[in-house]
This record gives sequence, structure tokens and C-alpha cells, in this order.
Amino acid sequence: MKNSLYLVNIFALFLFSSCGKLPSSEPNGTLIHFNGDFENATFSNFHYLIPDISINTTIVTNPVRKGNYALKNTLRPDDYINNGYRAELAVYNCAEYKTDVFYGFSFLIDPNYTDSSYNLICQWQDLPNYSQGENWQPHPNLRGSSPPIALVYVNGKLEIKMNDNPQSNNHTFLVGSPTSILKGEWYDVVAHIYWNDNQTAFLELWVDGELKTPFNGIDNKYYQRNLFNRDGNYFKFGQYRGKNNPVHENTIFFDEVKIGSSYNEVSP
Amino acid sequence: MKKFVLLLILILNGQYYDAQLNNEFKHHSISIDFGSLRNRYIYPISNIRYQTPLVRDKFRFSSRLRSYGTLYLFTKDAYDMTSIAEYFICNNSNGFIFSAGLGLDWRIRLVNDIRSSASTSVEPLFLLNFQYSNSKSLMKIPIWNRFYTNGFSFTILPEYSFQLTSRMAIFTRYECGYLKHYSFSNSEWRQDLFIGLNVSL
Repeated sequence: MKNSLYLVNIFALFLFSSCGKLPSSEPNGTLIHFNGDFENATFSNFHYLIPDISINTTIVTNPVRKGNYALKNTLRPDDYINNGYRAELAVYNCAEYKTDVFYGFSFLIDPNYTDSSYNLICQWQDLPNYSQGENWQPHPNLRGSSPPIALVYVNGKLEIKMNDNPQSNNHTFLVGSPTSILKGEWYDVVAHIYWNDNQTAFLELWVDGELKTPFNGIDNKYYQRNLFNRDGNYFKFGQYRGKNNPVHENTIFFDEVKIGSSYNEVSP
Repeated sequence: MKKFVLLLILILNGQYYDAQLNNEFKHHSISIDFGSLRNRYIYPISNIRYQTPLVRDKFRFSSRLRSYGTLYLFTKDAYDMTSIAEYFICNNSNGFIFSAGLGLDWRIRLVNDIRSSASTSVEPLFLLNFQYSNSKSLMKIPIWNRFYTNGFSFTILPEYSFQLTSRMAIFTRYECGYLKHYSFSNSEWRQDLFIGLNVSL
């Protein structure tokens, strides 16, 4: 009898000692509403992936898309940080598993921008599966990959690029047709994304109010999985050239960076 | 003649089983293994496991340390430590063995990144194990059941080991996990693959 009680107690102790959460993200996480219009003339809302904050990111009063301030983003030939040539600002925890999110921003390619090679002006990069033990830079690092979704400025055009292979950084594919971009003009981008690790995920994207994702027979949602794992992605914008170093110093202006739950909330 | 062959098979099988028992149950053992092929990508994971011989002919204790993001066992980022006490319920002489156990699974997460929601915790673990052995090989099919505050998981870890010498075996293990939230209809499947070496001391 004493032994049985002992066993029951041990069993109860085990059953109720569970104190951690399941290492798999819950769906429908909290949606953040983010406003990065630079009107307070600071970058306090952003995280930095920038070699020199005082040079790569400056607040300017001209040109601006709306209000009084905008961001001047400059990438020099030697601006190498975090394994790539980049000058980016990031917003974390805004691309969670099974959430439906709108992202908006405006950009202007400086008239003196000269490089013709690819430049990622925004991307939704995947994260390690932290809850299942992963982290950046494992040893050996076996899985460098292109972001699941990126907007690429290349040779005077804006391309929507996706990647479905978490093992590869040279298997991206083009979605829709490239958009011609004139230097010195503002363009408004709105992306509507449903985040999932299966084929119910979709991307819908507008440039200056015109849909750029291809018509699928019903609407312009491009269905393609966009999470490599359920720990979600994060959003960053600016300039990213990977290992391909810039030949010249290039500048792009950004304004009205917003994240929300509807087109009208994030559209400039 | 048929009866003789059958008897011979049974005797030989029993002898194989005895030989395997020496390694599996009568010695301390240490194994090291590496992986892994995760769901859609390769990610390095390494494990070191220690298990005792049978205690009082019925119990066995084992402990496994899993290091994430490395093939070299040491990392600054994340470990799992799983300790199990196993009770052998039946012990037939034909090579088939069944056992059940209780354990604790410690998830140690050391990553300091605000994008991460991973945290260190301890979960209870229930084990059922079915295994078969002969002179050269051992097939284990353990099932681990873990409980969390917001869900549960089942993991099946079939492992096949091949005896190289009297004290050394190579093995491969596939881990397939099913994770389920109590509050949501969705669930997640995970898989990992490992190869390793087992040494009986």
C-alpha cells in the first residue's frame, strides 16, 4: 500500500511538473501595428544591421514622400557587416506563423545611383527555429539561404523574388513581371502576406496601387509557402548585396514604413 | 527433422540473444551520434548518451545530452538533457524485450536574441520501448511522450545498431515527432536523422 502511494505520488509529480511550452509556435499570434514614418527624426523603432549609423542612415528633409522627414540609406563599397554588404533597418516579430499582415513603404532611387547588379531593398528573412534549439551560425553552417520573399532592384527594374529552398542561396525565382523604376521618383509598395509553412501561404503585392503579383484566375494572391519553420520571419529594408560588393556608393531614400492589418492602414 | 531445425533455430537465437544481452544489459555503455536532416534542411546536432547495465535485473538508467548547432558536442546556444529510468516488463528468451520508463527532459536555451521566444524548461517524459536483438544487430523502437503546459508530443525513435566488435557497435536513428497544441487544431511533424557509435565499457 505504501509503495503504491509512493508510485502514485511520483506519477502525479511527473504529470504536473510540465512547465514549458510546446516547442512549436502557436498560430494566429498577436499582430503588431508599426509606424516608421521618421517624423520624430529618430530610428528608435528599428533594429540596426548597419556598419555606421551616422553614415549609412541619416534623416533628411528632402526628398520626402510625406510629412517632413525621410530616411537616406547609403551603402558604400566597404560596408560589410553580418556576412554581407548591407545597410538595413529591421522590424522584428512582425511575420509570425499563420498571421495575415500588410506591409507598406515608399522608396526613391537616388538619381546618382549607378550600380546595375542586384540590390535587395526589402526582404522577409527566415529565422532559426529557436524553440527547437537552432541558432544563427551553427558549426558547420550548412544552410545559408536566400530570404523566402524579397524585393530586388536590379538594372532599373524592381523584381519580386521568392525562395522555397532553405538549403540554397541561388535558387530564387521571379514572381510576376519586373516593374520599371525611374530614378528620382517615389514609388509606394504594399505587400499583403499570409505566413505559413504550407501552400496556403500567399503574397499579394502592389506598386503605386497596381497589383504586381500575377492573376491566378480568382485574384492576385500568389500561393507559395513562405516560412521555412514556424518561428516566423522578420522584415528588413535598406540595401543588401550579399557577398557581391558594391562598385560605387549608392543611395536609396525610404519613407512611410508601416505594418498593419489592412491596405489602408499601411498605404502612404 | 522439422522439429530439430526449429529447435536449433530457437537454441541459436537464444545464444544470440545471450550474446547481445552481454552488451546491452551487462555493461555500462556510452554512445555518440551526429545528425541531422531536419524537416527541410540540414542542421548539425550532436548527442552523447550514457546508460547503466541492468540494476536488480529489472531497471536501467540512461541520460542523453543533445547539443544543437554543432557536431562537436559543445555549444553556447542550446542543449537538451534527457534522463530516463526504465523498467523491463517482460524478458523473453527469443530476443524480444519490452520496457517502460519515466524521465525528465530539460530544454536548456541560452540564446540571447529578442526574436527568440525559446526558454529553458523541464518536462516530464513517458517511455515505451520495444526491442529485438540477435548476435549482430539490435533494433529498438522507443516512443517518448512529453507533456507541456499548452500541449503534448509523441516521438518515435527507431534505432538500428550493428555490432562491429564485441564491445563496439555503429547505429542509425530516425526521430519523428508529433507536436500538438491543446487549444488549436493544427499540429506539427518534426524529423531528424542520426548516425553514431556505441561503446560498451
